[in-house]
Amino acid sequence: MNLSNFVQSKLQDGSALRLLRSPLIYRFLSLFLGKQSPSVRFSFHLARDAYLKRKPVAFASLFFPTELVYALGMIPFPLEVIAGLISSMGMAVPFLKKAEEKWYSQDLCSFHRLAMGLALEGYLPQPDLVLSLTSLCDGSYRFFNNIAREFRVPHILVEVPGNGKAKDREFLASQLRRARAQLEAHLERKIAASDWQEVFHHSNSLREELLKISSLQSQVPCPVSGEAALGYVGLIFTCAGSPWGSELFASWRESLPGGPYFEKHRLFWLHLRPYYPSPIFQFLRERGVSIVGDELSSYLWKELDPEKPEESLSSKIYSNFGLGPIQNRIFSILSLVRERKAQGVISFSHRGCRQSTGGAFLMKEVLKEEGIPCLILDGDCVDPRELNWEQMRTRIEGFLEIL
Amino acid sequence: MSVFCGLDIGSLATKGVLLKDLHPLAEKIIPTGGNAPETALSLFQELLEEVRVPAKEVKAVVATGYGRISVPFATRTITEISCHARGIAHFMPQVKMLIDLGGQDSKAIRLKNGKVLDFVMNDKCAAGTGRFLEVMAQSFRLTLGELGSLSLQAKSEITISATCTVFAESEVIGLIARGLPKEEIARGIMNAIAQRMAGMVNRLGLEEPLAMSGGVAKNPGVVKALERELGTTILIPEEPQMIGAWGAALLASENV
Repeated sequence: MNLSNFVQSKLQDGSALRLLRSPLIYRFLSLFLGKQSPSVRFSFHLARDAYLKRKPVAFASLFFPTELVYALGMIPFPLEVIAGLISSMGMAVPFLKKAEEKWYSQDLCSFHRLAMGLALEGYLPQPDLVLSLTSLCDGSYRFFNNIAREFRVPHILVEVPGNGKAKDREFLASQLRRARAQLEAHLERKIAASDWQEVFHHSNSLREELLKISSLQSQVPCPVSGEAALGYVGLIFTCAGSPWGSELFASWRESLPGGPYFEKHRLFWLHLRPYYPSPIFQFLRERGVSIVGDELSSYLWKELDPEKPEESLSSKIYSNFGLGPIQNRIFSILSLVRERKAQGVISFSHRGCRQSTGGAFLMKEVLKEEGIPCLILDGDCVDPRELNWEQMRTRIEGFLEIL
Repeated sequence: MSVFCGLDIGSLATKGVLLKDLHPLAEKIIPTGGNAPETALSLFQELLEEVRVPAKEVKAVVATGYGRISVPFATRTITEISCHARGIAHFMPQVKMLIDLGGQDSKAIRLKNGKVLDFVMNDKCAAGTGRFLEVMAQSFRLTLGELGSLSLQAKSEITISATCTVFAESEVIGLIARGLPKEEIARGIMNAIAQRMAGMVNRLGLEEPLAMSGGVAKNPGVVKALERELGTTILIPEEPQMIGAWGAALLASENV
């Protein structure tokens, strides 16, 4: 039995709403769980624990440090990742339309619009609170504020200032300490030293796995599917701090096919990919294109120290090169492009994403000076109505002809 | 005998060129209509019949244009971006930048020796393309050529504020109904398309000499408006609409 197909069919016939909250269905599905991949098993546990309220639920924005959530025994329910998942099942449009009917403009990020549609249709579990950061995604904290109001729960916002210099890092650590105190008070539970040790051990193990995958991506030919890597990005931000993280990525790494690989071009991918079914990656595969890395799964943090939890998490947040001045992003990407021996870059400009599209032109200019062609591909990661395949096909094909 | 064929299946017209040793044997344009594969085959056969060359003599056929993937007998498909670049380099080797304004899309291409260095193209919207001009000409009940000539008679212009083709059409109809000078409205239309195209050129950074290909290049009103907008002279090949097909035929001959 394919669990993904089962969930998809239930979403399509409208019975998912009832089933998501039924203990019986989880008991039934658990009979088939043994043979499933770690990512399916993780999703199952996440859904079960959240919808049956086995643990307190926090809606956490994509870049929120989930280690803090796991340390408190909570479930970080990742709304942006869920939006990507629903889109991959080909079910995005009804939820996007629902949000648009409530005046969520099509100019807004479709990850957030879709998640709002899910909330309005009653498909999300009841959260205990909402957690978000001001980092990277400029629409994120406003969206999460609306979500908190929709569910009438507190919204804890962590500010991420400036460039990541010593003062900024200290400020962020203090913000995280404040958030921790608020969470502890809300849940009436304290984080013990052993909690940090356990959670950081899992996060550091995940980091080790990501480093191994990263080194595989530098190999020529590249044995790692870039499409799959882009699909796993959301899990990096959801599993950090849970035992699932390293298991999931180790299992993926071990399952990589042994080759031979047909590799004609090596490209680096910026931002995320379209999650809805589309011919893009098959088209690239057929033309021997390896996506040898992407910016969001390539940022790696220093090992976390349980003796200094908030300082460690502050440092982890700032290790994302998308933060601070655009030079951070540009030069980090340039160095990754060289490290991965990429011949070109595709910058996927997700409509509604200001921080990514805003820097695309500067990125292209710097890459051009370095002799690395860059294609700015306008599109949407979640909303299939924004895909004009013939136009996109010509752009990609024209770009490959340049290479 | 080594004969090579280039077919450019555009949204409005399908263009074909048969080459032998870089010399044209035959060139032809027919409307694409609703069945691109059939049109491509029929044009290919017409070209061969015209010069009495059997199909087996054709060493390679390169298909380009939006309908390129619908040509089962093509040896290879290449985007119109590369084909227009190759084509213009054949006729005007000095060109460093090309504007290709076709029926439903528009592109700015930076090139060197016939190779594409970079390009931008319109996205999801027909504003700034030949289709936009067609719709506007319909509002005036004029042909495309007549609309272009009319715009050249204007002493000043009226700004068309709508970007969307559909909204611009209603704006133009409104201006005509108010009795405003038609030549000034026509010039406003040409400026609207030129401003959009100039935006694309400037995104790549204007390089000279600049040339223009595609069916819209035959419209003097658009060319003049673009020259005003970009502040430069635009070179127009003798048959701008055939450049993509020429490029396809040349690439067919070079890749055998």
